[in-house]
Amino acid sequence: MHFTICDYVFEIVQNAVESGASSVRIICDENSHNCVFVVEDNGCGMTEEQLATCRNPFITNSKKHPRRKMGFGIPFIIQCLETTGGQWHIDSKVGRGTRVEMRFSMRNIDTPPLGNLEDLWVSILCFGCEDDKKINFLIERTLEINEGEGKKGYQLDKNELSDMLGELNDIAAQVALKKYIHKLETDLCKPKTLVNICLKK
Amino acid sequence: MKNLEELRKIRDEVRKNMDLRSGKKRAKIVVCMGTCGIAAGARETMKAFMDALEKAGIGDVSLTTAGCAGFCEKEPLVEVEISGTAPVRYGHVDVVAAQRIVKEHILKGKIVQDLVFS
Repeated sequence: MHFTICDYVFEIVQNAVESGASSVRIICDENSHNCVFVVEDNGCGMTEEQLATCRNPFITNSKKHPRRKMGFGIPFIIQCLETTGGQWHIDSKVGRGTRVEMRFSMRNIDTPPLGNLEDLWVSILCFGCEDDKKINFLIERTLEINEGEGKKGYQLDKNELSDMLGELNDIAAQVALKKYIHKLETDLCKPKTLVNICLKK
Repeated sequence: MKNLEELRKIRDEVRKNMDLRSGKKRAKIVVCMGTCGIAAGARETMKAFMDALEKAGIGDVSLTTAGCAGFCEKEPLVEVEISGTAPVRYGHVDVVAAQRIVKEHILKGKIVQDLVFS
């Protein structure tokens, strides 16, 4: 099990990268009740049989480690969501891609803390930079501080950011990116949910 | 496009404060971030590298992530390759170890022997 929600989400993004996707879209929609993460990719997708076995930790189709028989990413997240009043949904079609939706209940005391979203975005945006095949990441972050007041948010498009900063595996680009995301996130005026306050103390 | 204008300003400021040698990078750091790596604290390690390099003002280093390298018991696992030399793998790299690697290996070119895995 991981410590923060961000750790779980990073795992799912990693699956998307390993599926051979050229484009990965990550949505983070937060309000005082829920925090919904969606990871969509246009990678190889899964057959119905593979999808049915995805919650089994002793089955994997990872090609990187042919002798390894375990895959904990999705089983961990399902276990976490099911024990904390959350919901999940996975859609996948072979050759079309996969969509993973994770709805965390922020009112449940057992839900892990959200973690540092700024670091998560930086980690995702510099993922796979070394590969020949470039993956475009699109991050859409929205937040509704008080119910009925409407959502605020920002978008991060890797192509757009690379145009401005150059290669994102460059440390100077990452430092600039981190400062930029910190500013965006601070401007959003993140509310302190009860769960996060309790855990920080 | 007010946001991108802000990003341009931040970029120029960072470039002013960091040593950016044109052309080849002096080193490449790869942090393994599989399930095992994340559980062992690899995201903290990654942040520690970024902070230490920023503090040292070194801009010509590439920092990137990879999946599981297959040595889960040694996580967080980090590969450091100084340009022109063979890559070195360090095991159990926590925040303090990351700071040591930047200080010794990246800045002085001296391998941190007690942390070496392979």
